Amino acid sequence: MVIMTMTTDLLTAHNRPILGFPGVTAAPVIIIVMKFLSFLIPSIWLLFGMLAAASGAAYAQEAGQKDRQRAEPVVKSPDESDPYEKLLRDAEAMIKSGKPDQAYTLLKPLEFERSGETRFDYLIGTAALDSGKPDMATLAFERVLAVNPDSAAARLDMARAYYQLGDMQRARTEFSAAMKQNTSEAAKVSIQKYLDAIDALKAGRRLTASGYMEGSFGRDSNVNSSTSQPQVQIFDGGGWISATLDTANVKARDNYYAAAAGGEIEYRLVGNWGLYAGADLRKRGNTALKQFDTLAMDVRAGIVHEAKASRLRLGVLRSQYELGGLHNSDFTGIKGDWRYAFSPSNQLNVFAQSVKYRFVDPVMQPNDIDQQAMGLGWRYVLADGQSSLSGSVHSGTEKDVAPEITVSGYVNPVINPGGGRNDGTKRFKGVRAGGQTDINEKMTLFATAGMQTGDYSKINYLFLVKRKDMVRDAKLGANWHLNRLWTLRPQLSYSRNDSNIAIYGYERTDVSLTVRRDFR
Amino acid sequence: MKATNNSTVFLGVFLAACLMMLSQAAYAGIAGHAQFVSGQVQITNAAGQTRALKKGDAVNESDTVTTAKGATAQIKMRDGGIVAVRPDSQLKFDSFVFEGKEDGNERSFFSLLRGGFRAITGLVGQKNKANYRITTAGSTIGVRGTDHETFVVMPGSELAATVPVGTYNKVNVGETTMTTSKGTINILPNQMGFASADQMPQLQPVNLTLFTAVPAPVLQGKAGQAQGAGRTSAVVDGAVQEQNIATDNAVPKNSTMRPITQDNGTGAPPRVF
Repeated sequence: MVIMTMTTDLLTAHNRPILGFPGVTAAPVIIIVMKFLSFLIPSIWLLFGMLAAASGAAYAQEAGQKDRQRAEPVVKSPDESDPYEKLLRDAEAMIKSGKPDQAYTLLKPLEFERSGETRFDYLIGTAALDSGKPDMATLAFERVLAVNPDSAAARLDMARAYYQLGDMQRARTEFSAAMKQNTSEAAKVSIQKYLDAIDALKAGRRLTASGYMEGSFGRDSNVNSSTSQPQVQIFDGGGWISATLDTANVKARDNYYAAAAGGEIEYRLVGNWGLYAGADLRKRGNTALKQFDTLAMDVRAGIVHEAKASRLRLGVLRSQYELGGLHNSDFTGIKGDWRYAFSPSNQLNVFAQSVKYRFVDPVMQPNDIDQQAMGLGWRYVLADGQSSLSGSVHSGTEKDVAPEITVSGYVNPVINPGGGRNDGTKRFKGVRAGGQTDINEKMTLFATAGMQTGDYSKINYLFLVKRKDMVRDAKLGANWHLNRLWTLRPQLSYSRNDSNIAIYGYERTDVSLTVRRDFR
Repeated sequence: MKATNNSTVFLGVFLAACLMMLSQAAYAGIAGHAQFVSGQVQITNAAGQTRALKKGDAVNESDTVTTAKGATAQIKMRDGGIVAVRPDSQLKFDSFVFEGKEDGNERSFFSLLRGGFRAITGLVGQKNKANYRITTAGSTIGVRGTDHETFVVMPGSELAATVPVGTYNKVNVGETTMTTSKGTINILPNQMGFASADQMPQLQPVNLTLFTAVPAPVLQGKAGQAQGAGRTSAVVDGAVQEQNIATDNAVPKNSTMRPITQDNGTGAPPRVF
């Protein structure tokens, strides 16, 4: 509405409507107006006819007088410079805020007049491109590049416009030219994705694959995510007693190394449908505390549906987790993930999953749960394209499903009377926010922070309270793109859980350096 | 007094109507106006008079626009279409009639004498396909609501040393026809038709020597700083993009699940796992 008002103001700046005369009654005004019109109408016709005749005469005259035929640019009065600047800024803001169609509507009436001004041409080009008019976008970018062939921004967007038009040959030419320009490593990564996609299309490949391998070392202040207090008070049935925690359940720090590798393949079927499959292997070993070494193996597979602005994946997943060299647990479930780009700047992500967590050791089996969770996230790309913000919310339940577990060697062999876990079913909800920005040509800085609350259903008979958790975490790091395939990632992460049951509280700080190699 | 007024009104209306008809006839001769001019671009009228084409200039029926090497021009047509004349080209606006609507009398005829041009058609040709036509040496191109590019390689030209002589037509959006004395083919988006004299037109791979619309960067590689950082990670093509960092949307696994058991019967404090 504001935009419409502004546009109207601009259009009517020199032709404002005549306002009424306060205090004058309607009837005399009508009479006056009628008399006035009886004179005015023929005069207008006469004047109009004369102007038309003049126009025709001008055309009929010799070509040397073509100045009359020129559609003269509107003469600018000094006070118009600000509205135009405001209009450009407004258009920029609209593009940034994911309203390129409005920006295009705003700029389009000025296209004839302002064509040739590279700032205007680039703006209307990006507005057209982002609002699904790649043909009109290329016309605008042609103007920018005719004036300034070294505009990397226009060339990159020109390539994207060709890509949208399905003109892969010219898209490849312009992407390649943009790649050779002195663009940032982040831009090169983005360009390479397009080039890879074009190559895949050109080759008619149905199968695409990607992979990675990475190695890390770091220092973890709490490798077992445990409380720092070695003793807790528990209720033994007759009163409160002091219990000493096993050292394995007390905060311990260590240096560690980690290695990971993974890959994913996608196979295009008919139409927009395809299949995907992927696997990851992650190993983390501690220098001294080997009992907390972990190994996780994840596999996933499913179907994918990809349209122009959306990507839907539905599939199954399975994970096996080892702790201290022993098989600890398995996770099996289904997961759906849908991403939809409302605009080039705004992307929605909705996900849902249903996973069964099952432990191997009978002592741990009371913790078997069925987890259902869902959430949605949003990603917002700032207009310069070099920064983005993201946020998400999620909620779900963990239903404890274990029957009564009997373990020999205890006074009471049933370790979870009544079944389930001591804390019962958990309901959780959380939020997460993050952002990333290219701080220079090779470096991307990122940060995320999240919080999740957990409320349990049962009164824990050892602590006589219903467990309540609040997990918070934050991560700060940088991706240093050594080249388009190698990345160095220093990272600092912090997490803590505040729980009303002391043994579940912890605080953890982890600093690491990772080197990663991508395969495409 | 009243009679005088009525006479004045009648005379005014009559005169205006007559002059407007004259004016309209005159206006029909204007095909469009130069929206953008870069480099040395000339316009030659039917009388053979040549002058530099400037932004805002009218382009009339029978005018010929000629661009020098490296020069381009965009003409905004009266029916809303756009004609972009490529470098080192010569395009004649043979005929253009448009009275604000498609009444069957509208027409837009061009002759491409040398080089190339791109046309995003306006209202003319939307309904009446025959009313939009591009003529080159040896072939005719018809369109209906389209964005296409046409290029002519003339015998003896610089390009003729590397590219076969003839007419090339590439479609960006919509569909065109390409006709020679031997027949007609239809050309769909991102296809290129080729027609040499007295040959049946045929589809060929797009020739990028001809259809590279923008000049290459002057400053290549590290030698020069590219201007404009570009929107490196924008989702500009509408396709869903991955983030560089994990979104962490996934619900974290519960890493703190540790059961606490009762007295283990040894007299020691309860074991906590």
